[in-house]
Amino acid sequence: MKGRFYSILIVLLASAMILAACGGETQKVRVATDATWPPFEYVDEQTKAIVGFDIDLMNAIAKEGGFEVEYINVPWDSLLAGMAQCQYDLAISAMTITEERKQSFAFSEPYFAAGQVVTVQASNTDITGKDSLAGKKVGAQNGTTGDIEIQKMANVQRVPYDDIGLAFQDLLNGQIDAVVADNPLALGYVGQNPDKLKTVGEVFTDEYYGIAVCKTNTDLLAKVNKGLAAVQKAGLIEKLTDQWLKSGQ
Amino acid sequence: MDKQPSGSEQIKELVKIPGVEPSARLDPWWWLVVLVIASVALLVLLIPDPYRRIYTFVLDGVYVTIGVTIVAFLFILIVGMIGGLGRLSKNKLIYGFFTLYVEIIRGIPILVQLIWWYYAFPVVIQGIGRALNIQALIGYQANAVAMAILGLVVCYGAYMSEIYRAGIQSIPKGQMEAARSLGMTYFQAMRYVILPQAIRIILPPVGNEFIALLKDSSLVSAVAVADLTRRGREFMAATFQPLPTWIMVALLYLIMTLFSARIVGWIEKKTKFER
Amino acid sequence: MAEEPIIQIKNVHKRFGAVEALRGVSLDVYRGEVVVIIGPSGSGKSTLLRCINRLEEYDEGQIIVDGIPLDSAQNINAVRREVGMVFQSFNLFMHMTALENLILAQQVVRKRSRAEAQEIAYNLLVKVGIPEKANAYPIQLSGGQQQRVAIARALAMNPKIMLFDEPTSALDPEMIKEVLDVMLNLAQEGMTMVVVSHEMGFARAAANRALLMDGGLIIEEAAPDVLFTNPKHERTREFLSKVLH
Repeated sequence: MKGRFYSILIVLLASAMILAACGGETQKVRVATDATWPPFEYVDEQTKAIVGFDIDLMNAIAKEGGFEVEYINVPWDSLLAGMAQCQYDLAISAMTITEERKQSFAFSEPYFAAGQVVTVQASNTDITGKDSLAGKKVGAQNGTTGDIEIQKMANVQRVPYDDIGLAFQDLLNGQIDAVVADNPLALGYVGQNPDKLKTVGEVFTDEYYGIAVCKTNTDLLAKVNKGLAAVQKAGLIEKLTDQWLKSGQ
Repeated sequence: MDKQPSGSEQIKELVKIPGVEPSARLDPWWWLVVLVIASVALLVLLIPDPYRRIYTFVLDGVYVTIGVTIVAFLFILIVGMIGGLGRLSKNKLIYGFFTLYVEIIRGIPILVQLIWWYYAFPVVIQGIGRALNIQALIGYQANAVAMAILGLVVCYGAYMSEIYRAGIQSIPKGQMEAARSLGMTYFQAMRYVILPQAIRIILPPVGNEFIALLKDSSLVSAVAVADLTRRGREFMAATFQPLPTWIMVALLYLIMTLFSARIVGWIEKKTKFER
Repeated sequence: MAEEPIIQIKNVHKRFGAVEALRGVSLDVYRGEVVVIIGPSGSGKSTLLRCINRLEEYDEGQIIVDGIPLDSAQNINAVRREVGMVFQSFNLFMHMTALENLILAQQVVRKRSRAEAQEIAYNLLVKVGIPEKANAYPIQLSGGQQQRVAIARALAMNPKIMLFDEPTSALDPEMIKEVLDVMLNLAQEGMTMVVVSHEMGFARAAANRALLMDGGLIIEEAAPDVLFTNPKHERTREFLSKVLH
């Protein structure tokens, strides 16, 4: 009886280990992305596929660079942590190149110029730009460059969120006074709520998106840059900007 | 040899003792489940934009949530039993190991544990592979769902061990003594006498753990598993509609937890016996 | 020619922490004998009984049951099959009916088929006088009925020895007789019994020997009539004067 008990146990443990082992081996390049940041990456409602500016760009680069990719949809915090551990080979996720991030992983050449912008309620007349945020409650997604900018501002009440959508929801509800986020993303939210939200002031940072690459994989970095250069030369960035950023969702 | 009516035949003729009759009336709380399901149906039918869109989009996440929870829970029940028995063991090594397990796991938040399993554990495996020069281990990549389930099992297993232990300890010592004095081994006594009684006693807290697990399963969204919560996030991001999305997601979780609570209640009633 | 005693207890000592419960007890019980042990609480009589089927482990001395010394763990389940025990608090398995209580150990320990076990079980319930309660759960039985089922459960294993640890002490007065009647019947059939009990009537009717224990030692030992009416030791007299009223 004792023997039967233990043999069932062993079978269960073995199946658990087999389950853990399989489904993981592949020779494709693993690309992480947080598909909750339209129009750069998001999940298509009908097909459940990950789509967006970044996805199209990455597919084109892979073709030029001569490698295959598979996408892994991971939340932002986990993505940053995973890249630092080289759990993924690449990450493309509207990620701004910063000195700090360069310490954890390598970046490709920049592929897009963006910047942070302030969004407020349409009826707001107090806030006209980043300089009039003193004493206000300002939200951003935790760990993004928008968040970092807020922390640099004096006398501003920073409100971090796990998800940028929640920040905008709070703004709509009047719980916070403003949101700082990437320009293209902010425009998307304003576009969805034209009578309720507006952007104010200039785009106030110079930021460039880059593709994150596992630090030790210099081979892959070279391939990515080669592919990126080729598609830039062919005018792909302009084409994608037209497709994804000008015509709205 | 003339056979008298055998004992078993005579038994069949015995008048059945009227036992404790379980209430034939339906538990009224089932109506709450019906109410929530009706709310979801109304939203989907009457306000299809956005509710029907949300519903169709997150539906596969619902299946993932249910699947992850059920599979994890089955293993948790097993780990809990082993852990509970281990914590009651007279063998110092076994007792020490399981006590250490429970103390450590209960001291670390579950989200941190899940992240560890998905991100740190493969690094450990790869390190072992490099040290022992086993190719298969060096290239080890974690399967997200498997790691998520593993993390949930290890974490909840610790709490479940304590539940089992308390249940077993609440069985009067005399039960074990009677079983042993009849010549049963420790394991036979456990299997036929102690555990059947203990399991009925711990059904309420075990049921609670299942419902808690259903909700905590939302944490697997942090480790690349497309469960209900993650699907909610993705939809919300793609369509800029946080409020309706989260209303629908909350209602769906509510249906699952309320339904589970009713099932647990029903099981409790069916297996009740007076002590 | 004297046969070997079926229970041999030789100079047994048992400590619980700092307290010495048994201080050198020796006793021989022969097959078919009925021995009753009386004494004040704390005298060690229950401890002695529980040492016989090793529910307690003695620290010094030796106990040999049916030719098997109790020292090594290997033997213990084999010994327990042959020694039935009836407890003060009945200890019926609450999640099983009376019949199932009797069947379980037969199947699991004696490896009998379910049909065979069921038949033996039913006949035993007839023997203890409550066949109609076969499908009742312990909670539905009175104390006296539960104890009779407990006796039947122990008998289902066909033991060579039956131990009784204050079997009627937890019963309401009107139910004591029905249990003692079963025990008396058992004694008359020739079962070897060691009974810890205050029931003098039973001792007089069924026992070959009665012992008084006090402070972890056997103080006096005699035929029940002699012990109760004409004890030799002061402590025996003292105890009896408190108990007999």
